Amino acid sequence: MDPEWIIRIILFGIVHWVLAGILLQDLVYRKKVFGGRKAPWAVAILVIPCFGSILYLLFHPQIFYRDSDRDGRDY
Amino acid sequence: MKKGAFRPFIMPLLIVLCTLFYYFGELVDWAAWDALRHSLLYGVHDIHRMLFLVPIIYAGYNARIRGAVIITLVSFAIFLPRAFFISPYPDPLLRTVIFTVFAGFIGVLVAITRNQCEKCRNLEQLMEKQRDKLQNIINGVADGIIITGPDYVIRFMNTAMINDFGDGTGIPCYRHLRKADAPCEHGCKIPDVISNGRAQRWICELPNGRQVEAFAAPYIDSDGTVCQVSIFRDISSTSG
Repeated sequence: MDPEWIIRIILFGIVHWVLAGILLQDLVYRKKVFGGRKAPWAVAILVIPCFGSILYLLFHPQIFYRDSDRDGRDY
Repeated sequence: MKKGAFRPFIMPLLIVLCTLFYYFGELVDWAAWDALRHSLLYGVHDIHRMLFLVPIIYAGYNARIRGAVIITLVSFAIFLPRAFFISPYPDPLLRTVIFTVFAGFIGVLVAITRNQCEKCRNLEQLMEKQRDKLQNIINGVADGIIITGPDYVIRFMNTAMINDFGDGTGIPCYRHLRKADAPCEHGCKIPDVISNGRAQRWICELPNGRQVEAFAAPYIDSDGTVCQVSIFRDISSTSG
């Protein structure tokens, strides 16, 4: 395999897993999620690289505001 | 409608707008909107990427470090298809990575600055509360309290003292309390209290005939000047 492709896959993997980690943590602490069930969101974040995370962010924009319905921790 | 109801949609809207702009050339090609073809849409996309600084900085400002990191990564994920498959220019991935690191750094910096500002504001409010609390306690004391500097100028008088003598802050104590033009030759304890740092206690008679028991001690003011804090207790009625 072309080394450039290996770098691309590694970069893409880093972005996916870091985003997935942050968003899964948010998902765990969030009281209400779009659609009412957390499991499909967790699967989407993990299985659809980057796109699942972007989709989760688009449906939960409260994540960007401190008065979101998370546990109110300082982050 | 509730104030700020649209606020949560600002960030997705910014991301969608930036993404549309970033891939507008491809969108024009795909939809065959020939009238919209412009050379700007088909050049090196380093300038187009700059637009993503807006949501990154906005996220840093609102959602602090976590928000800045999330939006930086999302932006990077949006840049990747162009870097991998579309860009015909040299080192598209390297240029994308450099921009992402730079933008993420700016976003985190904004978040840190906002955190520090908020921390300072909270500390300031806490200090003001503490100061007001102390001031209320001092003003609630029935005895007169006065702080005098080494130049004999009154720096502070509590409410009891102001009620008895009027507000004399900024006026020399001998002028305000005794209506004299020079410091009292006998009985003035300021030099001794300030120079030697010794607390003093004495009884003195005021021009209006009232007898007061005075306690004086050294006190270091907020500007570092050694001053004298004095407490005056009216003993006219007890001394008979």
